[in-house]
Amino acid sequence: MEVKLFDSELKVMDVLWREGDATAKYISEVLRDEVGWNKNTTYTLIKRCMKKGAIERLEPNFMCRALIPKEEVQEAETEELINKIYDGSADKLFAALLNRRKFSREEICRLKQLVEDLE
Amino acid sequence: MTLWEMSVSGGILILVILAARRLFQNRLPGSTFLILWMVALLRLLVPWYVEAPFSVYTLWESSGIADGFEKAAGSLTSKDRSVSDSGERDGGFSGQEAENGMGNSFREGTESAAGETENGTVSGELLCFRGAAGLSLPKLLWLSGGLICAGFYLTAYLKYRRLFRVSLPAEDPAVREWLQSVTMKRKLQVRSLDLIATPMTYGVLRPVILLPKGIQWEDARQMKFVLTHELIHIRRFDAVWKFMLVAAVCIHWFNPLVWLMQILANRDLELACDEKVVEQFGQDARRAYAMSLISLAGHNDSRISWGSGFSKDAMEERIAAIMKKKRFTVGSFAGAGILVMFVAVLFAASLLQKTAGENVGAAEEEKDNRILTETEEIKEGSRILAQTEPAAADKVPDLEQFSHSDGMVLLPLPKKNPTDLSEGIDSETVWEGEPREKEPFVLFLKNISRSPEFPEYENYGLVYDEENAHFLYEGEIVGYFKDEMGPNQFRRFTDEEGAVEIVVERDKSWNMTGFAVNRMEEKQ
Repeated sequence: MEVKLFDSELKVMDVLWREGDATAKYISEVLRDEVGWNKNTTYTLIKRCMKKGAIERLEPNFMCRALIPKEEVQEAETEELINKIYDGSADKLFAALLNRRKFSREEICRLKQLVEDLE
Repeated sequence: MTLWEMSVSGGILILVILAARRLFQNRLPGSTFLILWMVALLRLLVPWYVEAPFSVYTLWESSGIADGFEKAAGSLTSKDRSVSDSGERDGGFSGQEAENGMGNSFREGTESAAGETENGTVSGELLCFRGAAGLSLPKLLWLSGGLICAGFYLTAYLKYRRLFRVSLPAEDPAVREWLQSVTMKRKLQVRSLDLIATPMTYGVLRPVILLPKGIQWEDARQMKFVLTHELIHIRRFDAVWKFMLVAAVCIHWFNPLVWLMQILANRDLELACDEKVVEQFGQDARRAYAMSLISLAGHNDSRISWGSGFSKDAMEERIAAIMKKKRFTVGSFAGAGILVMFVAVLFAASLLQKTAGENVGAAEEEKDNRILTETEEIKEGSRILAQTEPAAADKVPDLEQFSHSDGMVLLPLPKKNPTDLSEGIDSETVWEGEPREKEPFVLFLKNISRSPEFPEYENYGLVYDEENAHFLYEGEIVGYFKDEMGPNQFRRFTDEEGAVEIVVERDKSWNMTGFAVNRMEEKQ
């Protein structure tokens, strides 16, 4: 089975791969210290991993177990998601370096030419 | 100040800024335009107006009341009396009309009243001109549009923030090293996220620079360009700017100029930021910086353009700005100063102009209520209560209404021009003659003592002596009393036997705050 996970989900899996089965509470404490997430963020990510079939939940105490080894996991393709995000109003709400994702080769050439011309 | 007025005057400012932007864009420091946008934002978001001491309205009013009253009272003789039987006119005429209508000195006005009556309509129309703002349908429409807008932005904001939450600390040692070198009061973080394509910042109090995961720096300099750029956004609180622009758009969603402002002001935030980066790295870095931005934009293999033409133009505009801007000279700063002053003056003008509009509008809104309640009171107290009667702007007084005599003189003599301040004195609605013998006056005072406002007056020490038909303040007979109960709604009387002058003080929302007490000087 091949599971595609985002960076954040991989981080959760990392804890399990590193330390074996752990309670959700323990994972959230580890990640709070390591990457600064709050409990809810970690719980949400655990649930997402469960949905994707990467984690199984054992009672009691919400014990989490990795269902797949590190080798079988792929990084999820983010391209589509990123494009979807940029359809929104990100640059109206947050300062972004560029308000536009990609240019065609032609446009890149034109912009570079513009720099040369103006220098 | 109505929303409409704010939107229109804000729109005018935006147009001016658009023109300035087009003319001077790369010749003035970028912060110039940010200041200009700030002025427009203030106009759009803040409903205050200046309590201008020089406002036409204020002058007009203050000169019209106390002074005018005294002089008018003193100058009258019984022959000149025109009297209003206001009870029969369902609240048609009032002290307010006297207020608005009588600009010229009392004596002059008495003789020429007939000829000037039609001028009285000028002020009447002025008062009516804003009535539509109170309609509920446009209000409802505006509200729902604004809520939809706000809802859209809020949803988007929360979605992004949820997305950003799962970011990981940036692991690039070079980035960490850079972070160490930054000194700032707020705790700055640099984090990485696989779900974004371009560096971003978020958070005001705990700012975060977010880098796309695995961003490939061409060299260390490019990394510093980018991080410095984002740091400048943070230092300048650009997040707050963006929030205010969103707020303006939500409130003025019906105004296309405000939407345009949001787009252009956001661009100007970037341009000003770029400018600062170049300033920090030196003019020689311009080319490298521009090229950095282009390379970070990345490219796709297809020849189809992803974004809209608008954002392509924005990128060109930006590259051009980075490359064209030279060091600013004293001259360009002076030019910027002049431009800012110009727009600031426009802004100030819009404030003053609105001062009159505000008061007039408020008067209009409250008019109907007042007429209903006060009219009953008037009828009860037979026919002399014109003074307690509220404004009725749509009725223009004419002389016939003052042909009865009941010891009361009402002289609604219109000003030649409502803004004419030369005389500084208005005639008034007054009691004169021998009011003590006149039952109506007694009734009038009695009526005041039974008015809903009287308990409030009592709180501040006003007492009604029913036996002698005087109002007393600290044991002394009140000789002049005035209460502006609402916009242009006055209650006042003079009592010849009294020597204390009381003017009721009210705050902006017409809540009573106290008395202004004066001992009257001996009348000549």
